[in-house]
Amino acid sequence: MKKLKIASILSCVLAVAMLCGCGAPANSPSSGENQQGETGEHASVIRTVQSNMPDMDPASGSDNSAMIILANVYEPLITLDYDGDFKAVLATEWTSNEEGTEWTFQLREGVTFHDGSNFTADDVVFSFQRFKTIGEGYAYLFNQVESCEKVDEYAVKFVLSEPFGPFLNIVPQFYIVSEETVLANQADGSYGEYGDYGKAWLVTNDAGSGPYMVTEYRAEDRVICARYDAYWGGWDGEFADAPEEISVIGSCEASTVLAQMTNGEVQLSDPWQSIESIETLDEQPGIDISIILNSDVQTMMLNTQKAPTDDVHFRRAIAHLVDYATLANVIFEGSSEAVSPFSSLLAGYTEDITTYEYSLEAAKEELAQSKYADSYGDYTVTLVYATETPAQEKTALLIQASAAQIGIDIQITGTPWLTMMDQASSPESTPNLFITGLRGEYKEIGSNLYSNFHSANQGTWQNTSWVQDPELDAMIDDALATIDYDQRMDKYAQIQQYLSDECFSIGLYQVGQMIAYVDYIYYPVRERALEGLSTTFMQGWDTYFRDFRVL
Amino acid sequence: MSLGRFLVRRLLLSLLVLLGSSIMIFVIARIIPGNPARLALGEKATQEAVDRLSEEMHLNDPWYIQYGYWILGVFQGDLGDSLNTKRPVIDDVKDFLPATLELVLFSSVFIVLFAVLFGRIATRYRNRWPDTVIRVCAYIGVAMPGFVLATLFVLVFGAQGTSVSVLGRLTTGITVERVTGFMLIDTLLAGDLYAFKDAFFHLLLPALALACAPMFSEARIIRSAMLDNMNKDYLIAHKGYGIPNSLVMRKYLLKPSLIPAISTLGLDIAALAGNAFLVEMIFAWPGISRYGTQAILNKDLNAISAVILIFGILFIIINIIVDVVVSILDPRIRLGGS
Repeated sequence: MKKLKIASILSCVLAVAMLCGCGAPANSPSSGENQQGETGEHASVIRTVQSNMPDMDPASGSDNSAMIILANVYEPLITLDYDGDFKAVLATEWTSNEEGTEWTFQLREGVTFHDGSNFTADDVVFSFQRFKTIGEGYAYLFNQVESCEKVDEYAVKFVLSEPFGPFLNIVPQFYIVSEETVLANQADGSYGEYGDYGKAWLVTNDAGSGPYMVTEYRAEDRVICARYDAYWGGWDGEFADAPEEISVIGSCEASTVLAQMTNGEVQLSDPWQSIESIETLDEQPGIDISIILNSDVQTMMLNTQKAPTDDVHFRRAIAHLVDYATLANVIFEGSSEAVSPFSSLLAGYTEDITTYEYSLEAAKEELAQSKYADSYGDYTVTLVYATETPAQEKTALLIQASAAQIGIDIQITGTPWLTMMDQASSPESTPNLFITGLRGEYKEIGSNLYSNFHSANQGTWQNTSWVQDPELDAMIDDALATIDYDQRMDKYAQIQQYLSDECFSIGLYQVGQMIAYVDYIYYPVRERALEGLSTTFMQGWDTYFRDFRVL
Repeated sequence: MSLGRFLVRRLLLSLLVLLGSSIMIFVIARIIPGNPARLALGEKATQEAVDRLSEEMHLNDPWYIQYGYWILGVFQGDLGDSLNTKRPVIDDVKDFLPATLELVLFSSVFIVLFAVLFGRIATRYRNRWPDTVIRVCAYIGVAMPGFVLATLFVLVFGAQGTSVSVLGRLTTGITVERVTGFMLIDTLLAGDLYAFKDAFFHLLLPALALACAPMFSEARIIRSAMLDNMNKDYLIAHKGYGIPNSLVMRKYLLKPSLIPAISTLGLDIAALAGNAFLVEMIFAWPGISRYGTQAILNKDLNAISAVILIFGILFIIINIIVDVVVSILDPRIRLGGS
């Protein structure tokens, strides 16, 4: 039959095409690189991969991917520089009244948004109203802020319902949108006269004033941004070699990233590659690894409403069973030892508290004092970790093994994260031991104290020790309401001592963030880390691409 | 039964199947832990925001009321909004479905061509070395999941010091105006042969990774069917009449032997669409399969329902095509089995 002959011939052609195809494009003119914006031998482009597509709306974005876009495309009034000091962005000066309930910001003049409209106090007032009304993302940080009022064309005033000491630390999480752009693009929605508040439009477009502007949004693939030529900060001098184009790609499958980085399509990896993947990437020519401590502390929360972890001596015994040095130095290379669930990068952090060293003897002594001294063998202690972070099984096994040596039976269950979040909704369903990463949401320990230990925040995965302690709540409230910096820090230290005594949680190790990058880019936080300088704390701002260079 | 009546009957039955499966998925999707509104907005979103979204999505109503809203929307061409991409699901489908269809159709071409070729070679040289080689390949092909092959391809062709771009649908930097969503067609419509070549090469490896297992199992099915038929009386009679051996092989032996292969082929091809998600993830292929997986992981209810509906429709269409093709190949097989 003719058809079969044709089929055979076609098959052969396909087979040949395939074999040729796999090698051929190596010589093709535009493989891997586009031609625009050449500086030196490399295109002036930095592309980074992330675990998901960014939520680019400043009123709802809050994860790593989103914060990279927000830091580059939008601007807050102030942010933190690499040293951790406040840095003026859209504001130039800020002052507060004595009680710390009114904060006035002088705004920068001569700033234009990407649509060309001028930045004024109206934009700040509108952005804040939008941010609070939508109530997603980091809006919860602004619970105490009652209103944002226009003082004059270039000044705004925030009015707080009660004094809130760390107020300036949360301001960087509030990004300004152009009122004109958003109003021009609103659709029908549930926010009354504001329709959908421009939410649908802002999924794929931007309304910011930052150094980069979104030029293309490819659903479930990537966001591409180009330099905003009229950026108020300018592009001359030290910024001349900053990338012309940046992209955030929304998937980070290990073998894909390896291929993308070796063929020059991606210049900066995500921080979630496994140690094995990082090692493979490190072996490739032209790829380096940056290891920087981030503010995550891998933590084991202990459920205080469930036997036997309701007993403080039993909890302390568990704390003595963790081999901290092995975790930080052997299993999770690049990490550092933790003494509490708090990151050493946060203001208010102290090591001057009771710490628990790895010692079976000490664990036995605590166990002897516990009310379960005679009966602990009857209990099975449940421990969960998220199956999405398989490396945590090693942590769990390490703890289980040392517990077994003194007769404590720990049952490990790898659990999908969605199920863990459900488990965290009640003390009965929360396991005895709950392994999770805790992160400060602003650069002060008050952030963690409130999120992770205040009873007002119970029922979430961040707060699974179920502490019912009015005294502790009062201490946290009092510290957060203290305006004087030094006094506030002292109060933070007292609370940390209290938490350590009660042993509601065990900080396992401080997470070292490992990111692969190509060696022809200047990666500011990496260079600072190499020089022993501090690195930025602000999520997203370690990838503030205007400070990058393509060499 | 005439072809027309057969099609009408099958389509009506299919509607019932779709309705049943959509109800099932609708219920199952709601058993996945977590409040979808809370998951979509994040742990720290204010309760008002969560309540507002729950209200918009009718999450507070019983499931059958929710289903009613959903099915009404479907008949109006509105699949709801995705919680994950924050866009109308119908837009997502328009974006991602062509990518997967292109991949699946291209894999199907591989499967059909090579399965027939290898099947014939194996029969022709049965129990000699070509047959053995194909058999060994078949074992390897069937035993090795598509995603393992995909990973191997990416590592071998994508990374090892070459600058071959195997990821995505086009090399970064090449852009083509979107008309059909099928890259091969769009590049041709744009008259951009260079981009066409690029799209073709991007398609090859993922399609091959997907095609490998079904391709070899089909070849084995064709081989055994051909061997079964070989000793049938009618073939011996044909040979006795002096009809050339090659003609007997092609016309009287291969044709009836294809029927079992084609029946399984239909299922294989339909399954490709659903199984493609790992291959799509590895090749950074922006397809509906990967989108569906993300939807399940994020409990994106509208997206899950839409993807299941689409896969259901794909399955049904392909199976109807298979039935028709089989009846054409062997007129003794009556459509609808009556």
